[in-house]
Amino acid sequence: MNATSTHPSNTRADIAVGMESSCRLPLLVLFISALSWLLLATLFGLIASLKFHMPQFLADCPNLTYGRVVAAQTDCALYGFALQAGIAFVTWLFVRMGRTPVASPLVLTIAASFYNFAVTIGIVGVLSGDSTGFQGFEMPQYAAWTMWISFIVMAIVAVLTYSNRDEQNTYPAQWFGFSALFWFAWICATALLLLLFKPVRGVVQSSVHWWYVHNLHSIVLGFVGLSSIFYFIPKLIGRPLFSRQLALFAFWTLALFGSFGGIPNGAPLPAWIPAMSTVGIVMTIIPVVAIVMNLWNTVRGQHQRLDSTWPLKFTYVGLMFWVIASVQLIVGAFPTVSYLTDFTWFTVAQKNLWVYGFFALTMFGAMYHLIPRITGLEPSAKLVSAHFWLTFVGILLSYISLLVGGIAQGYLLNDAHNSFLQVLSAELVGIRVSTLGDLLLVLGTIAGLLNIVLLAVRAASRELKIVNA
Amino acid sequence: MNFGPFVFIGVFCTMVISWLTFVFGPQVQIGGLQQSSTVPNGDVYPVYRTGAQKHGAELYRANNCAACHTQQVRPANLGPDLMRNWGARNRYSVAEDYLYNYPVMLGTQRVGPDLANAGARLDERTILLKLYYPRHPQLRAQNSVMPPYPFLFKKQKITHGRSPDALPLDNIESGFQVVPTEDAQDLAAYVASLRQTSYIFEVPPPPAEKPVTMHSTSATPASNTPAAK
Repeated sequence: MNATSTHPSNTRADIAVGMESSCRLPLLVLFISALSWLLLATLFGLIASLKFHMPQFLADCPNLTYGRVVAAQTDCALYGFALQAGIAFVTWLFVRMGRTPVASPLVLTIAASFYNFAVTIGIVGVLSGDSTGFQGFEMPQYAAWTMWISFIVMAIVAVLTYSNRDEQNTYPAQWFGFSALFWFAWICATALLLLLFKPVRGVVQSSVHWWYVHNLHSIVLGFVGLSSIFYFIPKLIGRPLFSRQLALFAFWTLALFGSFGGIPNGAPLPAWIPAMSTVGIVMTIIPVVAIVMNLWNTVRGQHQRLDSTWPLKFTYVGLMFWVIASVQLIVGAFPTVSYLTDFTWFTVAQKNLWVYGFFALTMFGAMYHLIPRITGLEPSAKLVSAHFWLTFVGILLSYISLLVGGIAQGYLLNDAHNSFLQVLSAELVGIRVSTLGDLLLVLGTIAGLLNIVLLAVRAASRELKIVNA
Repeated sequence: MNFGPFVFIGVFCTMVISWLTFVFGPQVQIGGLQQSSTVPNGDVYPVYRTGAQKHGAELYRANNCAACHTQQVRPANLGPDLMRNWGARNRYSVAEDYLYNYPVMLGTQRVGPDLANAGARLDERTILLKLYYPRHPQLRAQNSVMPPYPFLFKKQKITHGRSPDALPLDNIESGFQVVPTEDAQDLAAYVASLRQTSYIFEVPPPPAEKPVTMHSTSATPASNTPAAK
């Protein structure tokens, strides 16, 4: 991948656009690797989904059993794709909003290479049976520490870029992006120390594990995605954010309540722990309403412009998915609902929508906005359109079928007259329909990856021509 | 105005609040939990897994069985688990049950049934058959979507008579048998060791049962039907 990218030539003013060209190499490396991991994640998802049609599919290969494939899918999506795309976007945001070149493109690129190396080792470890057994944090210790350190190095480059900024005023998008970086460094350190290095005893592990996974989704991915939403929606619609105070309020309430959660009701823990978790999740209704109000008022009267450009389209659809996934999380936190929905496909549908719907779409939107700016080249509009529609329809199909399947599963399980296998037959309809969605996600990701790789090749060949001339 | 340090400190504080609640708090309260004794017999509970069971737990982790199987029984007001006979009567899972587990694999999804008391429902031979051929007619699960795990078994020619471990299969060519590897046996031993049927201080036996069970039944029943108790 490195070979296809261009040399970091800060001084070459004849290419691309000012400050932003300083992050061309690292950002291309980060985005291309992120999309490659996403492709791998969706492929693993497709394999896992196919096993519901034929359980004996690839059963002879110990490395590709359902459990390992699902674990690899989760880790490819979270660590390979999401964190990498997130750090790429946040770094660019600091460059763009601070009007300063990236602190050290070289260090960022090297750290990104180490990061990818660590994730590769981790996924190979998971597939060969070295998984830690903590869902969403499966990467074995030997890979996880390297990954964490490389992440810290990339985060330091981003923070240095932030503090070098020329523009002293900061905006909501920056707070969200900045906090997400710190948050991940902290929670990952806690999980590494207390789950792997010196594990705590018994179910305290579960509490730490659930807390980590919930914070990773809700705060780290949530904040990066919101950062992109808060930057692009006002920017591309051409109107200032409706209220900075309301954004500030939403930011702090979301940091406070959003970090509480993840513990299922009925977990074998002292009752106050799941209770606190439920309270936290339910309270996130406040920032959700505040953010929706803020952005609604920002775009009011300009709705038709939301469709005007691809980056904006990706971003606002991502926002809609964020609202749906957040509301579903809140509804599912009430004990009367979780009585039926916990441990069903309902929660899986929510997590999938969060990662592949909300987070991925906001990152694609950011990517299609910033890649032309850093390279000076336009991606193929046909492929962007294919990427959008395949991903959008794919995630929607997979989400709705799993949601309906999950609700059916919950209702039927509640009646002891239905045998477990009868319940399974009913939910299988949903799971099997979702395979089609998984297939569309794979195709969409191929379109996106192909587009960016072709663009990087064009950028590299142009660079070569300039060097030769 | 430069909000950088302000944002940093504020974010750090909110993070610490949630860390204190979900990491430090639970550690203070139950991090030092010790072995306790069963009610009313007074046997030690839980017992540390060793040998085959311990290795089996490693295989359970490596193959991520927890992707489809939970190991937790919720109280009756928080889920239909007791109604489905996944636990003994009135006996839901508590922190004590997982004292010596590492990692604790509670699971998040029930594609397959809960396994918190798998050992009380199934014997090792049944578990082995499920691992090799989940749709075996004897298991009465024709539409099971559990994948088979053929790599945990080996097919061999019968040389010195049929092995006592051989699986009861009839669709196999004559002169051959399928026997579990050591891994399969360990995994089965682990699953068979999963049982949360003993009553302890946090989850005492239901009152009506007290006079019957007093000093009469073993703390860890060997029978296959805990739910009927």
